[in-house]
Amino acid sequence: MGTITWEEFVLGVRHILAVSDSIGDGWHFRGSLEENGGGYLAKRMDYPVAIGEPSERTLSARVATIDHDSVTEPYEIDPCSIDPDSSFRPVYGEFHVLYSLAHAVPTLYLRAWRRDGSCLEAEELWRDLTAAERRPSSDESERLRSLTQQEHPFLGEPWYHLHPCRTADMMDQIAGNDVGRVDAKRYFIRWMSTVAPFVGCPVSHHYASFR
Amino acid sequence: MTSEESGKILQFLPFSSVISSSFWHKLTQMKIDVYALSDEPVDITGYYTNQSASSRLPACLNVDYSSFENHHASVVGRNGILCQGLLQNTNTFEAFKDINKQAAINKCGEQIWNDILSGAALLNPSLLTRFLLLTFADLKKYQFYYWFAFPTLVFPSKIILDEEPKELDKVLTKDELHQLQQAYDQYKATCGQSAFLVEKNPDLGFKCHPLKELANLKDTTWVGFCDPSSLPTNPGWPLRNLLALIAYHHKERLAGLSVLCWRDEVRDGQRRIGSSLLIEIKDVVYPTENETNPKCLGWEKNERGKLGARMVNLSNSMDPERLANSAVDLNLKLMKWRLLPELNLDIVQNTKCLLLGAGTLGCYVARTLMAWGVRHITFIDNGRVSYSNPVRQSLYTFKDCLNGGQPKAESAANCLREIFPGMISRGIDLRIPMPGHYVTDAEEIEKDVQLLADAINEHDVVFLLTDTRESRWLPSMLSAYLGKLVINAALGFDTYLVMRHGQREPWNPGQVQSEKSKGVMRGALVGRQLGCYFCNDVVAPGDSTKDRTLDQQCTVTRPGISLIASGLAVELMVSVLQHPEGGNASAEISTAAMTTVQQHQQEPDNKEISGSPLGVVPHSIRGFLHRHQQVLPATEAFYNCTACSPLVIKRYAEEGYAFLSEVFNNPDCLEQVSGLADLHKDIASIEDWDYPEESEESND
Repeated sequence: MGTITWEEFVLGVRHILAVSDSIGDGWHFRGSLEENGGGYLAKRMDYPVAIGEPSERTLSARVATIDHDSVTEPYEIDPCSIDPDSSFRPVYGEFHVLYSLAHAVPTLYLRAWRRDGSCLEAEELWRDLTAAERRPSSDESERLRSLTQQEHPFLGEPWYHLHPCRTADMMDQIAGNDVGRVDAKRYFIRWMSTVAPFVGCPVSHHYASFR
Repeated sequence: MTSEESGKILQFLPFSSVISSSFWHKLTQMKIDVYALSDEPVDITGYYTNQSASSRLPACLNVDYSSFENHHASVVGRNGILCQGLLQNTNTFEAFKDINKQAAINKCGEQIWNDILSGAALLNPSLLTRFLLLTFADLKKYQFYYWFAFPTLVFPSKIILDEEPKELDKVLTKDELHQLQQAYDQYKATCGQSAFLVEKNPDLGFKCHPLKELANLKDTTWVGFCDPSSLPTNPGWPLRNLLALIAYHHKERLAGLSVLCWRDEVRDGQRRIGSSLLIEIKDVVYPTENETNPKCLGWEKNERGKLGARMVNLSNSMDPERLANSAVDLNLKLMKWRLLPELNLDIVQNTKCLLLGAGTLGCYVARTLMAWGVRHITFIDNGRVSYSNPVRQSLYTFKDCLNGGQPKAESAANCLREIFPGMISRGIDLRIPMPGHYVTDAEEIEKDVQLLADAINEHDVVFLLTDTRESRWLPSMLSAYLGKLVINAALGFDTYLVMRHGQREPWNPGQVQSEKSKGVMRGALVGRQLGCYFCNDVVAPGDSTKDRTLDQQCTVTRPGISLIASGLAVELMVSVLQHPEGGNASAEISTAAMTTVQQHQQEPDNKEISGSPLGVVPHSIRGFLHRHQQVLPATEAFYNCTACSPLVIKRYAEEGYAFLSEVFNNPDCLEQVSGLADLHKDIASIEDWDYPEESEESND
């Protein structure tokens, strides 16, 4: 089977929200839980990325076009302020969990921005979000293959997306010897803890406790 | 440092601006729909949190799409702290540069100072954390210039500490930390302002109060604020104006004041307030100048650490043409990623295609090429759009027929760009000179030939999609001469032929004469051995349009045929491009007519045959709609072919237009040059032979 209904998805969502609220993990729901396919879970995560990475080349390409000297002010040193740490730059990621009506499984959408609002491309996004994980380097093209760009069903913008076509099979395999229908919460947590860390969104062990 | 300033100067961490892309989208929309040319300042909101995920992250002040209305709780999150800002969006870059930055920040500083003087800030400390945002939106290039200011009053001018700030979990016990956390949560539930007071009662433990109660509380009360900084020794920016407030209303309390930089973090799923800082102020230095308002500073430094504006280029995600480009690209990549990782999309995209004929076949071929990501398409056609065209020729509409009809080549090229702006498409109005069609104006025709030759030379693949046999002669010969890949499609009423010409190296004088046909009947032929459209003909192309009735002059076909043939033509081209040998890809000869399915099933392991990731690369595809059947014959190049014979090409290489002029005016010339005439003579002489009545020894 490996699939869930919208109602089961909602059960999973409520569990996530309850645990997230108690540990301050930042997951929140946008839209309506009452309506079939009416909303999605969202979470923002900020990542410090060490400067000196190859993606820095693109930064200088972007700022090169502005004529800096024409829009500057005389510099007065303020003894009471320090400069922010310049050895790291922030990357702002956002993760959305949607319910795919066509595949009857949850699906993950993600996107990351720099602090000026520009969007990260696939390779940069991948590198920046998973840098902290210190994952042993697996086949780059294999990973990128699972991350495709798709129009976000609610926002209409292109987001990166782990395609749901393999989810049902994957969940079937994970369920393994479980007899009968898997509990919705358990399913949801299993799915999330498999898929989300893959793209740099850790899932705390607190979610595994079912009260 | 003077002698009175022994000790450490407290240094604050300024805010770092963080702009969501949704802010830029909304600003663009507001400018277009609401602001128009007004550059009046507009109230917006931003937010920050004291829940930093890492000390390596800056203290962020965030703006996003909801900055233009009141932030909703779901966007800000439970620990987001709202602050008021002023946006000034200028209409020109000059205006952006010319705004007096010092005056602007002074004005804001004045507002904050007045709120302090009046006591309004005591009642509502969020008035202390304001920001300014200057922007200029270049909506043609989708470039946004921006500059944030976080106004802070330099009052007092310096805060002196005895020792570094301490982390709370080194100052309080676990129990005490827990008590404090509870006290804060209670306070947050009732009042929740970002600046507050912490009273420690020996019996009752911790209790938090609103800031305005400062006068009523003991000296040992801490002043607390939600701190966006997560550095171990530096508090965030909101503290500066807060201290200015206290310096004004309770000057005497400052020296010896304890400040709690309240950080409410989550680490590994656990709430952690222990990294909050406790600052003990030892002494305070006030500005010596006697101004009515304290000095104000706080413009954000740019990426280079200078006091300057920033710019972000969002054309990738906002320019509709770029968006169309990346969407089309993505579509093809999905096919590659999910189904055929070996697919080489770049080679297809970079292939320049020349389409001879902008009729039914031309239009459908062009659209299918676009679907494969081809960006460079040129049409050659000398016709005008007529009233019967639009229903069958998918790049024209009714209005193209009016006023005598638009030139087809140009219209088709324009239409491609309307479908996808990134197309490099061009139309050439040219009538292809043909053998047996007498030439009246030699100079004109010579120019036309050169134009055609140049066009073929500039492109990689030539599609022959015209409506007569003889119009294919010249391009076939020129393509063979130039070594280009040719895809040929021809239609009957309910039949079609789609084929690739055998592709050889461009002609050079030292080229080894290719051998006469071996008469291969079995196995496979490599690409360069394959024949062209004219190889199977034993007569030269002549004027097929003379003496024809109307119904014979235009090809009337079942409408579906052109779609099928066009689709196959493009897919054949792409298969060739994907094959490692390219135009030299082998095609299997079938002595018996076999369908594609049968063929493939019989040779599942024959990698030589299906060397392209897309499958077999036939020489030709002949289809019969009447019985929905397709066969894939492969035939050898004919040494005496009127179009691709080395004899013909050599003559053209040596004589150029002079040779062609002969061909156009006298089709018999081709039969002579190619050696066909001699072949006819040989055959005729065989027929003259006397055969013995009983043929025991028969000639082969």
